[in-house]
Amino acid sequence: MDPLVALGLFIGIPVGLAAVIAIFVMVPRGKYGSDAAEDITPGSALITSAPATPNPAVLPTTTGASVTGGAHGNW
Amino acid sequence: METGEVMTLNPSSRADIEKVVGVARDICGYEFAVYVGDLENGRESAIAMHAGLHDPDSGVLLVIDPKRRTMDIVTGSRVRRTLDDRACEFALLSLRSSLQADQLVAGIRDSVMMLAEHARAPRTLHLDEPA
Repeated sequence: MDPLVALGLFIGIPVGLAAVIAIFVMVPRGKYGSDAAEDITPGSALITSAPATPNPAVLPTTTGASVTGGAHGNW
Repeated sequence: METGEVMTLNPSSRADIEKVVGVARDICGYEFAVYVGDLENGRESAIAMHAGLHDPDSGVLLVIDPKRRTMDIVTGSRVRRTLDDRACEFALLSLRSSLQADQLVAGIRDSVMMLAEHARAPRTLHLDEPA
């Protein structure tokens, strides 16, 4: 191998690897907590869990209409 | 309190609430949903929204309307067997105190966990503890 080519590879490969690593390190990946002003989601939000677990022990409802319960309040 | 400014959900708050409703569902097996936003017809809108869940009979919906400063809990017919209306009122009391302190996510977390603990069916001998 030509000594000049060997010297080029000897210097070029580490420099190239260092450049690639530097690019990966410098590229920002995600935002941090100080950018909260852009994170605000306007409007309403409905957040649901997974569907209820089927319970074979529960008897089926005989009445067609489902009666809802719960509570209402103000603050 | 300036409603509308505080009562919005950023992605981290949404993630927290998603985690809470997931944990609540794991505790009692019922579907949980939380809605924060405008309700045109009050509780009627909340009941209509509850009817849109996967299984309304086994679903619990917590609704907060920041504009009208109202909060509602809607439970399905199957959930009512273990989660009565009195327990829902207790959860709303806890939520009210948190909302008055501008702690939306903490209030939702506490009230949803309270509902889940109440909705958990009592352990049954020979069914929950096989020999």
